[in-house]
Amino acid sequence: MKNFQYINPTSIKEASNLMISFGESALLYAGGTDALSLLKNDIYTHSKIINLKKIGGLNSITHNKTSGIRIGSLTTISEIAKDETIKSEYKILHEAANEIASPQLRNIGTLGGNLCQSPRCWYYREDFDCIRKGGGECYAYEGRNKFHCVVGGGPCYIVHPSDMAVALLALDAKVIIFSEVGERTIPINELYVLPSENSSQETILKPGEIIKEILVAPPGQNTRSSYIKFKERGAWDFASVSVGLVLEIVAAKSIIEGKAAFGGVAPRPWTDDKFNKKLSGLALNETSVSEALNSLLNDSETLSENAYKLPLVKNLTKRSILNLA
Amino acid sequence: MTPAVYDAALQIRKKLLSAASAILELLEKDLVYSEGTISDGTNTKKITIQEVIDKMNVREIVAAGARNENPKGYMINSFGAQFAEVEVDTETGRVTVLKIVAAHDIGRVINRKLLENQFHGGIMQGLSYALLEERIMDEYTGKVLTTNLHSYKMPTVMDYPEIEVITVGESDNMISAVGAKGIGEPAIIPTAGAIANAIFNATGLRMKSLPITPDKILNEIYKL
Ligand SMILES: Cc1cc2nc3c(=O)[nH]c(=O)nc-3n(C[C@H](O)[C@H](O)[C@H](O)COP(=O)(O)OP(=O)(O)OC[C@H]3O[C@@H](n4cnc5c(N)ncnc54)[C@H](O)[C@@H]3O)c2cc1C
Ligand code: SF4
Repeated sequence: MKNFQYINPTSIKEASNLMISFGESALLYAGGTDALSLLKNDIYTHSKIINLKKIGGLNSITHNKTSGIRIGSLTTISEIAKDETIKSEYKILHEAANEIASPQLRNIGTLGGNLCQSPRCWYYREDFDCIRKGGGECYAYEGRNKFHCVVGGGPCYIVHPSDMAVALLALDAKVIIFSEVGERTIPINELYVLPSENSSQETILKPGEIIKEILVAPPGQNTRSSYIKFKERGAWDFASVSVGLVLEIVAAKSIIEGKAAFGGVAPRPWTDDKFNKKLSGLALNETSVSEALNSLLNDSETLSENAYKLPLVKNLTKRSILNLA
Repeated sequence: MTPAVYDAALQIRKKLLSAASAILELLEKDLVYSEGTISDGTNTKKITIQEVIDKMNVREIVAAGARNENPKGYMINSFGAQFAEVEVDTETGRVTVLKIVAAHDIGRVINRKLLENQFHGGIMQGLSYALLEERIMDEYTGKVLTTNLHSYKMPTVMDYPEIEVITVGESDNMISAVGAKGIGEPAIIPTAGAIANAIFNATGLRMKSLPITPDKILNEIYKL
């Protein structure tokens, strides 16, 4: 690990200015659950660590009947998992938060850090000079890739590791980004990029830009939601595949409209627009759901060790939909 | 190890008795040792271990014990059988071990609590070998990719099945002075086989490489 300077700004504006003046040597630091291990392993080599935790007002959840919920980026995953309103009105968020890592990591890790965490590709985390680290080769492409992406890959084939991002994408959440020129609000869908657009960064954030808050609209009267994560062991594991679902359901017979978002399949939290269209008016029985699932991710391109993800994602999605019926 | 400790303890007992015999002016063969006291058997003459040590003017008594050679022409093996009950989710490939029953002939049970812990530890290592732990290596560079306890997956408490321990067999003095056999490693050996056979019994799939991870099960089911 390289030596670094630990700086404690007390306002988001000060943090943003520091980032701009230090340029590439600056790293935002929230809970540090991801950033610290990357620094220790010399994957990150920043020399100016900008601690966000001294900034007030960004670590709470506020509820409003008409505008929905607003979650500060420094809110911990545990606080989201414990929140009673989230538990009753946004089950998908509650379930996603509870699936993350371990209780200890949830107590320290923040929402902002979760959305901006680095990929878990083992070549990236180990000593390989791959494309994402500025090298010329993707070692996973012809190497060990059972956890890599089945859609949206190239030239890098990571999957985005965040559970919260998948849940928030299914909810059509909005992200408030602070920057020196002011705040802007974007749909979370626009936060993430594919490697074909940028292979060294997972989000669109530019130096000086900080995620301030996340907004989620209030649920409708007939909204039901869930987050199912398939992991190889009982706890403390990233998703092989995960499915976030938000459905408007009438009389337990059919779906008015719905949105499914997927984790573990693509370099960014993923949605399949054609599939989401099929959800509108879909009858809630096994035959019609299976039929709708036939074409899910049919633009996929599997690697040598990850073809199992296709039946897995279809089966999990079918299970999630029928569970919500 | 227990026979070696037992042997060392016997040697120390002999040293204490020999010192007590000089102090009490009695023949060693007439001495009786009971609960920290050495006496002539009628308690007319007696001395505690503490007093013997004080009089011997030593700070410690050391003895090296050994386990005797195994008796000739007599087999000493830890026999065992294990049974696994599993649930295989054919839509996700997940194998959940519901229960392991382990019956082993371990000779004499000296400390039941510790013995059961040995079983649990061994069985969890066997379960992990069957379903989780894998050193994944990049074949082109020879570098290991699972270098931490997050990517090299060991079971968590959420992966723990019900475990029933049955001890069969009894103390056998032909084995050693204490009549016990070992269980540390023997408990690990049958677990993976039992789990793989239970998977076969449930699904008809013969899984031929460990660990039996969900992707391998799905690859078999969907012929990928
Ligand atoms: C062993 C382990 C298991 C894990 N398992 C899971 C899991 O199952 N599911 C899952 O989703 N995650 C998992 N994680 C990741 C963990 O959830 C995240 O690391 C955590 O939420 C990140 O929050 P943090 O505050 O600690 O982020 P930090 O480590 O402080 O930061 C992570 C990144 O985000 C950037 N950042 C932080 N805050 C902001 C902000 N407000 N605006 C812009 N950029 C910001 C930092 O610069 C850094 O690059 C795991 C991590 C570990 C170590
Ligand atoms: S998938 Fe991406 S991060 Fe992993 S080796 Fe390939 S380029 Fe590097």
